[in-house]
Amino acid sequence: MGLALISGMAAATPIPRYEDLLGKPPKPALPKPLSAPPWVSTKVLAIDTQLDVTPETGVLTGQVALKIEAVATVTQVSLLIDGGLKPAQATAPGKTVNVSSQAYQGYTLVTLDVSPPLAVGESVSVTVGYSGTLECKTEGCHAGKPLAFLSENGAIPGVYDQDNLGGYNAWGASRALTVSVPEGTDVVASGDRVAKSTAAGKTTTQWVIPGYHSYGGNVVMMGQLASKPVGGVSLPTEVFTTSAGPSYAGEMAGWMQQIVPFLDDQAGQKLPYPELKVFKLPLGWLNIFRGTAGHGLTLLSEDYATGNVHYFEETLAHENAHQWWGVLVSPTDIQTTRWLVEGLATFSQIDYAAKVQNPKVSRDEYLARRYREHWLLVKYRGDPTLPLVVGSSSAIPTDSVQNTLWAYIRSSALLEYLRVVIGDAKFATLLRGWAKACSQKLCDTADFLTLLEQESGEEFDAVFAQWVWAGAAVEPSIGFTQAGGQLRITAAGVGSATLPLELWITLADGTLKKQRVRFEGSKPVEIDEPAAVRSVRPNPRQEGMIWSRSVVPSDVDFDAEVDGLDVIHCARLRGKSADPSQPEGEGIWSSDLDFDPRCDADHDGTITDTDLATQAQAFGTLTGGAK
Amino acid sequence: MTRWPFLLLPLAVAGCSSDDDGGSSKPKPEPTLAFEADPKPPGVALTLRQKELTQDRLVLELVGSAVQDLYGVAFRLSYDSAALSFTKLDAGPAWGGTPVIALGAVKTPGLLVGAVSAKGKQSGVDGNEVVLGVVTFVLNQQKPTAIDFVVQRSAFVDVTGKAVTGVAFAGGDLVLR
Ligand SMILES: [Zn+2]
Repeated sequence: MGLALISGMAAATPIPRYEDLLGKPPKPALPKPLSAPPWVSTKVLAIDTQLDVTPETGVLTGQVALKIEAVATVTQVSLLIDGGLKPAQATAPGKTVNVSSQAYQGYTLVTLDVSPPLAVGESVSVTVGYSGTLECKTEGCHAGKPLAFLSENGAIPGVYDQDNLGGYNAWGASRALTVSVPEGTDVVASGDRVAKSTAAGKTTTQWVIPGYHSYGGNVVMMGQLASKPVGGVSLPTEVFTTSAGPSYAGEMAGWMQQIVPFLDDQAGQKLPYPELKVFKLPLGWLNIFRGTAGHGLTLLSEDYATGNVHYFEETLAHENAHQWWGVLVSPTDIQTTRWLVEGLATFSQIDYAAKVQNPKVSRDEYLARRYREHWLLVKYRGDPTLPLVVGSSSAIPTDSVQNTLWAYIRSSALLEYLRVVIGDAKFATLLRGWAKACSQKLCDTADFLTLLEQESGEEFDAVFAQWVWAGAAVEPSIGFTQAGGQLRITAAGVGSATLPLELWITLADGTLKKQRVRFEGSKPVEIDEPAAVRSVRPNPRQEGMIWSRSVVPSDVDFDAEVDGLDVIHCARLRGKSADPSQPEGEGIWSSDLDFDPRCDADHDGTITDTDLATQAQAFGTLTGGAK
Repeated sequence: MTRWPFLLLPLAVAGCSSDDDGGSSKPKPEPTLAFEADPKPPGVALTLRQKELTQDRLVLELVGSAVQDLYGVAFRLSYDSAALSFTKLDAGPAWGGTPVIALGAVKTPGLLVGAVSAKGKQSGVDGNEVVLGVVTFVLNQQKPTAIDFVVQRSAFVDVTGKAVTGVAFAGGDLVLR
């Protein structure tokens, strides 16, 4: 069986730090591919794993029982385990199972040939043992003190079927995990803990995940652990750290008091777990395991706290948002998109920062400022022509920076844009509907589109065709004229695209009017407006996605004139750069959020005297509204 | 702030005709142009002050009062284009050694669009009665004109990039007397 390994980011993870991506080849992460329908030949019904492990040394004995059902004729199933582990005999009632194994990119690939083959509709339980000492050359485990971890494709087998669907071919499989460790070692794992016992110097815990398809996999943390309860939230919640490194436990417990209600409100319901466990991974674990989310377990490395503690908090919100967007709601088009997983978690992170961390800043202003970074990153470093849902998984960028811009940055910008054009209230209802309809169910981008159209009462097929299933830089040039009580607005430069926008129309007396419009190609939009209009611009929250400009070159405040206010605005930005990692930078990658691409006349990512000279040439152009 | 071109114009014509009144023992003095600034408003303000007035040209200072952390000034000045032609706008001494942009453009006759601004990361200008800019006009003829700020299109911008609120603007008049 040929195993297709696709490089790319694992699902449900925090946004990588820019500095950590620079100059590094992408890690050969294993894919968890899916397809629709998610089962080709083999439906995995249950994966029950029993482990006896010494966390400090990685010495391990394991056994997995796979319950599979044949959708087509099944002759073979494969397991991926750590390279230090070797399989023993396998059994299945009424079948002969031949076990073979080979070294494969740091793993052991175990192939189980079943004879006679499973007929369509037939199900069987295959049990296979394995043992050895974990090598952890891959991202599937870490042995040692004070903390060890186990995950899938390591101590816990990843399952691949004969059609080469790995990991998530286990869609809908229930999981049970029994872990025995030396007495005195604490264990925290994904899933609901259903049993704990101590006998003969061993502590055994049992964890179950009900049968639903999910990107969230099994993760087991082992060591001497400390915990802090989070009071006053909708479900029992605890923050775990190592006993030796309890830093930030108090802060994280405080943040979780805000994050849990934020998520409850966003999803319109509380998390359906008996307990939510939040695990702070130690400082320095960025390259071992930077964080992820699984059923009822959120993990995040303290490395995210080294820059700005507020950013650590919003990243914790991101990772917990994956409990909904990634774990419970796992769209089936994961092979070709991350927009409803990483995009929604990034959107949630920024929304949390606006709502909880910056409640005194105008919401529009804050969100516009944050999504300015998305404009900068995609315009100057990314590829806006890459669809958010690509045609095939081979089109997903393998370069780490490009992958991040695609998976997290542009996707969240599209979500914020959609929220603006249907309105905050309707979008909030949409997300609640998405959680309700798709939690632990099979949904994908098309289902999201259907809900979006239902909630908004508007067509979005064209918008999705343009910017979800295809890609393009969207750079409308906004112009306006006024005569006879009619305001005529144009959006040039978008070809024949359908462009819904929220426009901010400022009257000569300073009154701001918000107006939702829909441009169809070059056709102007006409609005009754008897009062003199000073400027017309799109709501800047849309600018992560819609890179709008005034139709008058060098006019940066959309009054269709180039005057002193435009000059002062750009003069202030002289010397600024669109690059990430700016001193005193803000946002996801420490960008200078004052940077305005409208002042960068030569599009080189810096605002220099050359750009100011271009503006000076246009200075004094008066063509617009009220004088 | 007010404009009186139609009232002043007949006076000017009358003045010219008085040149021929050679028989008088006490001749009327030939009327000359003078700049009369509008009264200076209290508080934060941008006003005009005469720096130089000759037969050929008028030089006005843009004076900032009670300014704090001022990064730039944007303004529009309206005037009678038959009386004046804009020559240049220079930055005033208030900026010291700060790198400055000074731009003036007249693309609509009688309407000067101007800007004087620091550039890059700079601390702003603080002070009272500080000269932010110097505007030079050529006198096309001995003709009075109001010189007014277009208030809705004139602003002080502070170092944070925000327009300063509550700024008063006062122009002036070129009159014959
Ligand atoms: Zn994420």
